[in-house]
Amino acid sequence: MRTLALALSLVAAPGFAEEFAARAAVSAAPTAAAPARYRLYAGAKLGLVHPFGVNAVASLLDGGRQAWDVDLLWEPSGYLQSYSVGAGWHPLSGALYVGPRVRWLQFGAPWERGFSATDNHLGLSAEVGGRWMLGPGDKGLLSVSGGATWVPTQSGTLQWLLGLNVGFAWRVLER
Amino acid sequence: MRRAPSLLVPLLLLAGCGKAVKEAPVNVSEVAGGPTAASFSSELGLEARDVDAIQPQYGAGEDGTLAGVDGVQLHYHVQRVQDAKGAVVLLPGRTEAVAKYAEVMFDLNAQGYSVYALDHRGQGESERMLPNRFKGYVKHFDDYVTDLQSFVTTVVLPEQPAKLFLLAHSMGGAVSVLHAAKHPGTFDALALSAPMLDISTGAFPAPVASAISLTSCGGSDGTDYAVGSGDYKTETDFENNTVTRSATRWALKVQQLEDNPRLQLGGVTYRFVCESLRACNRAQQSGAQNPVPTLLLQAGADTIVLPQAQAKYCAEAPGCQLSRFDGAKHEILMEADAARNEALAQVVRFFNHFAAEN
Repeated sequence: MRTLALALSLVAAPGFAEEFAARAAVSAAPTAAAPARYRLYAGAKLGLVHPFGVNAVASLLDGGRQAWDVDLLWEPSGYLQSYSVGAGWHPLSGALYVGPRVRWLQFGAPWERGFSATDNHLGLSAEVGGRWMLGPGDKGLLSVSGGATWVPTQSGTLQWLLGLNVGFAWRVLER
Repeated sequence: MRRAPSLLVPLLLLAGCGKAVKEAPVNVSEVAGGPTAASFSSELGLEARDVDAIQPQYGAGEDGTLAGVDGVQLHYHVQRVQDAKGAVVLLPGRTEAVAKYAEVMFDLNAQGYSVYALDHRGQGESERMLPNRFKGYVKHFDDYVTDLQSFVTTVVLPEQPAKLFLLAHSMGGAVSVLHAAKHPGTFDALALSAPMLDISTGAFPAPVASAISLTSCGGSDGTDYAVGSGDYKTETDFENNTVTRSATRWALKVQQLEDNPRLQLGGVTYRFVCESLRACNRAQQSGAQNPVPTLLLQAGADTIVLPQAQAKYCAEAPGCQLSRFDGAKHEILMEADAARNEALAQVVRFFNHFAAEN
């Protein structure tokens, strides 16, 4: 009872309400959210020389701005299949990126008649493009890129492959 | 053209790697005897001889069909001679029908060789695989190789030829080297005329041409005509033709196609281009796996296929020798007499060398 009486006397004390409100406001004020360090996107692309592909992009951020990307890309095709991992550096901390890509290329698909081990080739690409984070909370990622792939094969016609891609991915994770 | 034995040879032998060392290629210029360029048909009076002798001999040959991959009916033509030194399997190039080789068969018969010629699937008198019979199409390039093996095993080998040779032109050359890598014991020797081991993309830079084709093939069934291709059109411009300097042989070919519309073929589909790109890539990697003695005839003024790919292949194939014909256009065996007959003389001397072996 004594405690309750003390509490009531404090509430009734002049200035208490104002001080309480001020303290409450301070404790409820949003602390400045730590910026995300990376985002993970999953999406698809259209383009040439591989008409279609699916990918996962990890976008590493620095102070909330794009710094580096790493992506895994599978471009299935009956004629030129590619499994690849690419890296992108955003030199201006914006959408623009440049980077290399290492490909495992198959001139043909293993499920097609006539496929042989000699259809497998390494490919090394150089890419330049842009990755724009879009939408509320940067949940979308629009990509446009162009590049060239060098294939160390004996066929001169297939030694250089050009690529042009447009893709869209959706954020699935942010930390 | 004989390559000097490498200094590595004794080391390899000492190391027990003798199997890796192949016999040096036969040099046709050193084969004694045999025909010379003058031994063959010439452009002089060719039109008349075509009517009087060549076509009657072709007509007396045997025609038949066999089922290729997926049951596609393949046409073949056989011209036998008595007591043949050997059998020559003849594979034409893209668009060509075996009937175009009547003069070559005539000459080979005269040199004592029976000839077994096969029309590739989708061209000549063989079955087409698309409703538009002008479209140059193949589902899998490897089907040509399988068809060739079927032809050899079901038509040629049952006749037990003394020796078995292969003479192939352009696309037939690509089929041949892929076949040699897959079935190395089939032929005693190969003669390849301007083999298609890499394709010239003409006005298009190679990366652009391959990008257009591979994108189209990846995104569709590839049955559309490739850019710049279309249905058969009668050729009228000899001066700008890219295959021969012989006006006589060129005119005979054009006339043959006009007289026999079933032999006509138009341009290529995307699928054909993609399959050919892939096949060329494989073919170029297969040189080391071709143990068969090979004579590669290279056209010095070829604009259809890339001579550098032929040189590379021949450098890697242990039994290959390259013979270059400066100034010759793509169809060496349809060229003007000087190149055509020297090429045929080399082929026959090359085959004679192996025909004489027991």
